[in-house]
Amino acid sequence: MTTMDGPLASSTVCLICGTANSRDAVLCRDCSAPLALVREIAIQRREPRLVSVVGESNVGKTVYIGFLLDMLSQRAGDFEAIPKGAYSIDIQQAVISHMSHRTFPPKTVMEADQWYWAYYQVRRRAKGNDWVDLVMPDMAGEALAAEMASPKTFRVISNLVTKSSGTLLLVDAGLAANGSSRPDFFALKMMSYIDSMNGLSQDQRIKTPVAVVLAKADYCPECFDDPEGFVEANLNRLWNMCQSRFENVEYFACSVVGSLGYATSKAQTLQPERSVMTTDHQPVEHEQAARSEWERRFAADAGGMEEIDDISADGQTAMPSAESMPAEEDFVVPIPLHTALRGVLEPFEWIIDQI
Amino acid sequence: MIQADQAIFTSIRTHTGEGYRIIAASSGVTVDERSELTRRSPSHDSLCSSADGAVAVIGYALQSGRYCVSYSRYAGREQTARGGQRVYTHMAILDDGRYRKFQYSPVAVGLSLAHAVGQTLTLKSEKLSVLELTVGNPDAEPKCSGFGTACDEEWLMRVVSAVLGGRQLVVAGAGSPLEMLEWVLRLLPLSMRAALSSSIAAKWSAGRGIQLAFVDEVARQKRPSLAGHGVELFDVGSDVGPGESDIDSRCAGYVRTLGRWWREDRLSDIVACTNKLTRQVDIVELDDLARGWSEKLQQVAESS
Repeated sequence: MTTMDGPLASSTVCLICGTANSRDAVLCRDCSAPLALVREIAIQRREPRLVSVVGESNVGKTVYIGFLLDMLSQRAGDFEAIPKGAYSIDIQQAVISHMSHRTFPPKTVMEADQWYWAYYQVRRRAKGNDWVDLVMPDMAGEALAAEMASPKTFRVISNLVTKSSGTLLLVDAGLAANGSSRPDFFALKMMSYIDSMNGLSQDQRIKTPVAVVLAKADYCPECFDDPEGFVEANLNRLWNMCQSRFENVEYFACSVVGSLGYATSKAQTLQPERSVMTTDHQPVEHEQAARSEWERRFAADAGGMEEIDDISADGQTAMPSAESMPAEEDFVVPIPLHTALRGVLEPFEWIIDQI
Repeated sequence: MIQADQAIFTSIRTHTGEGYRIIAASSGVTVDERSELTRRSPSHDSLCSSADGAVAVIGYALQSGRYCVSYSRYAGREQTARGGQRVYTHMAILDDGRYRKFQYSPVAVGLSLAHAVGQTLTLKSEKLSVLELTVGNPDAEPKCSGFGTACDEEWLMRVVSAVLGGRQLVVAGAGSPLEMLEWVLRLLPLSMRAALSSSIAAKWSAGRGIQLAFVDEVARQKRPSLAGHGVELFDVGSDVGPGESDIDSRCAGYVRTLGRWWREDRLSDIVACTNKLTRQVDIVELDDLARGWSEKLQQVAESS
């Protein structure tokens, strides 16, 4: 039951975390999931199926979900898909419109109340299948990483993972093919997290279907021929984890971008705030007539403070752990010149067949 | 000099990962604090302004019992080139005693933090040393040059009343939000200031758990979301002043008295009275307290 009767009739119970919210609330006050989902699903009187799309930051989750939903809207692959609620179309509109202008969509922010959520009713027309209510959130990769590092940091993620009927795990095939271990480690952590959230004993394996999707496969087209072999060879830690703890895993390769151009970006050296003082503690001359409030206060406070030693954030140790900022000529921006979708629908088809 | 733990939250690409996270911290920052700081810190596209020199300040209590004040600004383009600037947030974490030296003002801590860290935006080590913050002169004569709203006194009273009543607010359009927040805090008893979580120039987000947020503006399509979260919007920049919206009756006397003092430029009286109130007080006691202050100050004025 999602909308309560009786003494708590004014509440709407969140689908994801079970928190009671006021009837007028737009987002859950605890996990920021859209409550429109609850209201619409209550009308359908069917249990919704959550499909989580997870992956590292910058692997392509937003682009994948956007194109997938757009394909479903256009009845690709014998699917019939109906978006429920205008908010469900936001992500595909954002992705398609950005890509049509040859830019990638903006980075998904970590704040959960800013995430895209999509609620679609989906069925296969030829098979005469019943409708399935699908809910697919577009989560930020950094939020996933933070949640794996310290569970319950983002409770919406832990709730989503435990309630998911199926999972699409996107892995950067290009990086893996180049020998980077980062995609393998992230995927291993993700699967380990899912394993721990399920809380099964050692002799039980997780039955929730997981589609491992090799994203950006245009960098290494050979993975289309044998995705499973590619994972075994290049993402061996992930492969072993799947073999050991997951009963229902399938491997796919996908690509969205047909061709990429590369452009350099000018003026990327770190700019100190224009509002702070120069090193000789004299106020900077500004072109604008009025300085911002922060600038005025900063300058005024500097005059009142005792001279302090320049104790900056730099530590004393010499070991660098971050890449130095790239020089101006090294800052390269990839430009998607055209799209050529390949392997986008297949992982989703498989998940639907499993659930 | 006040010592504080520090942490840096931003997006960089390293050998072990990519994206927004705590990239460096001093050893006193606990695991639970790191988790909470990660959840509440501003990430991509979280500052109200897209100007290069944009700055945001956020202050809140941590579940560990300490307090965090963060100072965010832009640090160049986001490295994956998906548009927008990289937000670089430097945080000071202080215990109650040290935060009290700043009179629980995130503005004071934020400015001191900005001076302490200077223009450093690169990192040489994940392990940071303890931060040394300078406290401003506590005996300095308080001043106020206005908040840049349609009606400063009325809006000040309504914001203070709402804060005392425990309501969540977004204040949009104040020309001088730093000054306005400082005076909202000064009108609160010292004992009540620490509990107030506030932000300036960071976009409102439900996950940040901020009671009083100052923003440039709130887009029309975002307003229902605020209402749905039980957050009130005060559009202080509009030409229309506050209506007859109620001041909380439990503290109306207190709010109106201090509002009148503010209007009469009795700023030192405000600070002297509220800073002395260090014990925990209930909202219903405030009217009597304000009456007592008025009488006492009246007697002092008459005797001199």
